[in-house]
Amino acid sequence: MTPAYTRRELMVVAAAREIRDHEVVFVGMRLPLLGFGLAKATHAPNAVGLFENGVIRDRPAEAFIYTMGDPPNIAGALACLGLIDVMSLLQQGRVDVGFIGGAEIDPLGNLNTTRTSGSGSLVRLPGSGGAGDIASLAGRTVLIMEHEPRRFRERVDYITSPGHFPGRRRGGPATLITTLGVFDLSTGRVGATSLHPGVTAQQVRAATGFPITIDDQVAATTAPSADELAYIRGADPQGFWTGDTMKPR
Amino acid sequence: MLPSSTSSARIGKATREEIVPDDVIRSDPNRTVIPGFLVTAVVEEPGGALPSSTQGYWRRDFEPFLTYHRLSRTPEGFAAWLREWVLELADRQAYLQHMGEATLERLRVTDRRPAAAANFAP
Repeated sequence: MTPAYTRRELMVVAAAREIRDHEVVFVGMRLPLLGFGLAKATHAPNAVGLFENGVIRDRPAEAFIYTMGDPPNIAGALACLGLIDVMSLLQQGRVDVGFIGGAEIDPLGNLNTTRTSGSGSLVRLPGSGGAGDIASLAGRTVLIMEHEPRRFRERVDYITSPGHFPGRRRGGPATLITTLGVFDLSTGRVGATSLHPGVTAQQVRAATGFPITIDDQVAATTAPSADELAYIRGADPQGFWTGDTMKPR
Repeated sequence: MLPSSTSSARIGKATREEIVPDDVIRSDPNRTVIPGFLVTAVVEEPGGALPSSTQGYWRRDFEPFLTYHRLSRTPEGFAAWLREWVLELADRQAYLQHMGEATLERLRVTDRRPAAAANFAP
């Protein structure tokens, strides 16, 4: 059976659902760019988005964007400040939710995007970008990752973006959205909230390099509605971010 | 170039789409991103940011980024990309010619959406 949506489209929808109306969102690259636009177009029309290049938007971009600096993300923006300005807003505690991705994650939600020797030889990863700041200072964070055993590790090689730790006074990982499901990280353990349609608990356990709580009655991630898909396909007509390039399961 | 990069550089070169009279720049000081004393040299180079975008002048060309991502996965692919897009092109004109007129035509921004005029009378 041909699926009516791709897994990345499902992940965009799951990301959008993490945004509540009137929230200030630190938007990341890739899927969250679309997730923010989708949330604005559906249940969170009053959300405000901050981008780390200084752009502040209260409307989705007018056309497809590849980076946050592309002209359609500038046109009609609420303000174009600078990196220091939006990072200062983050520091002030004005950001409710931030989106970040990672190459590796551990059970406390620590993310590594710096370097890894998980596959035997040392690999240099892209680095923090603004992720360390977002993970430390946003009211809560939503993490988005590919779900593979080499990425889900009992202990990450390097903590680029801190997860839960004793004495944390603000924020921390709340939700993890992967290619296999949606997981709750708010308690400092990883528990499945929902698995994507067709994904089994066994598959998730096999793809996770540490113990994970999956209830027998765990829900299936709600499939995208026709309206949600229409928005995503309008914003990403070529499937640049949302086309499923992953190998079939 | 971003203002933060001018703070860390000793020599700043700016490439521009257009060079305009000084009074155009001074008509809205809030829009001056880099004041002249931080700039060592200005190069008038239309299309200088391509295949990235320049607001009001050029849209982004997405294809070259996908091509680079694909080719740079292997050392041979990266070398081939470097040859085609850097080493074998003498200058910016040669780069634009290699992109092709049809591509440039597709990327050129022709609509106008000027900002509202602001009154700076003291």
